Amino acid sequence: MTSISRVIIRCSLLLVAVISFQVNPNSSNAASLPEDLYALGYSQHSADGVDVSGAILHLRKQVLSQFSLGVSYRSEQLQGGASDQPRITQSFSNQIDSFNLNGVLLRDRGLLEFSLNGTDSDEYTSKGVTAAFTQEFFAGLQSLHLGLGHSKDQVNLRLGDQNDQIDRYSAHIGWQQVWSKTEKVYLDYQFITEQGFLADPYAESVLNGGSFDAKYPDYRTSHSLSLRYQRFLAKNSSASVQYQYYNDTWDIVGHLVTTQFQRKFKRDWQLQVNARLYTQTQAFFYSNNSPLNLRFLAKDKELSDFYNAGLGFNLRKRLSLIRHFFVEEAFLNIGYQASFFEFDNYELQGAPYSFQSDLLQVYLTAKL
Amino acid sequence: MQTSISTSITAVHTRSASTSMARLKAVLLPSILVTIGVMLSGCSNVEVPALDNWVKPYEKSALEDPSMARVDNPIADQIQRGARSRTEGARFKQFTIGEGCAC
Repeated sequence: MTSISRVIIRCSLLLVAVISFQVNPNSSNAASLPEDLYALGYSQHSADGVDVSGAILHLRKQVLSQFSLGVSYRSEQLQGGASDQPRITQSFSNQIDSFNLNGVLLRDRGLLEFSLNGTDSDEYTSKGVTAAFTQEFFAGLQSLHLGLGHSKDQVNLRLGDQNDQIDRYSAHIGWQQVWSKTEKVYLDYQFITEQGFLADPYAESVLNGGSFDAKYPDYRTSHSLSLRYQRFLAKNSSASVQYQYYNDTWDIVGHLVTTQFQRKFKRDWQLQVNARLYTQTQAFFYSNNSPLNLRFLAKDKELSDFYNAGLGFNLRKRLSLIRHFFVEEAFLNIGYQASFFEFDNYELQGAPYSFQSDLLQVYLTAKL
Repeated sequence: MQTSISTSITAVHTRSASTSMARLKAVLLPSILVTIGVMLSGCSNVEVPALDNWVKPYEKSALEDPSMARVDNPIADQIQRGARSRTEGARFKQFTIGEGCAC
């Protein structure tokens, strides 16, 4: 980790500590804990020959007057290999299980959060911890969020004498501003630095038409900055637009614009539609077919020069029949996202590559 | 020889970056303008609030509408983030209360 990374993380920790001690216990307009929520769902994502499907379970309950506990579990089955992973056959499968335990403590106008994360798969095992702090100011017109995270991955594949661990540190600072009676603005910055085995173990490099092992740097630091504008339109109806900028030490520069509109119709239906445009430049060691044997080299399409455009919706239906039994209210949620990828310098059989990605999700949510 | 190849690689890299920026301007900027136009179309007036005229606590009913939550649907958001991490090089994460800092 560079000295700059250490300085940023230490400054963030110091800022969290300073603001924590400045919370006024007698002030009004308290922040609120996240709502109790029970969710059970299924999702399926298909992109470039890889299918990932699985179940998600999420439980959140306020267990004390000022403390909320959340648990989520996700189990996914990955099937098949992408076009840039020629060493994987279509019969390849991998089970990925993820677990998250999250506690949120309300302290007047501040929220203190602590999370434990774990992921286990045939390829790697990951354990992580995050701590975050949210503080409201000036009658809730502004709020500041600071978060820090650390995770350690253990790569389970046989990789010879390569470094088979990843150390990852992250920091987030966010500002939410009430702009008017109907408008909010969000400004967020996120920093991630990681060191270790950062390669796609199934990727290859192509040198003068021949295939060889891909060679990735073992260090990466990224910065992302986002600005979001959200506007109230009518009861249960709003719209937002967000721009996000990204760059990292692999020379990838990304731009993302997301727009979203939602409204309630009839009595029990809520519709949200969204559009998304993303573009990025290639990593410095990406090459479709390199003439030189460079120190770092990979033909990994996620690191190439490409863009994608996506459209999606989420439809929510209140289940009024269930409400009469044991739950306060329940919803059926159905979501679909389609994205179209166009690659500039990633080619298969001499032609620029493109594909469509589909994401389907169906889940039930309830409040008891 | 090596210098000329390096120069040509740099040139290709620069050209692809400039192509990407041109595409960004051609596609993204109009969509931003259209979206902002649609969002503002219902407004009778849009003005920047003065410091002494900020929103009062009793004027926050619209801001507390469920549709104005920072993350409307955390479950869908979590699933979508996972799907994008498999297909894109950038690592955009979004803070959600109840997920730690989602780092």
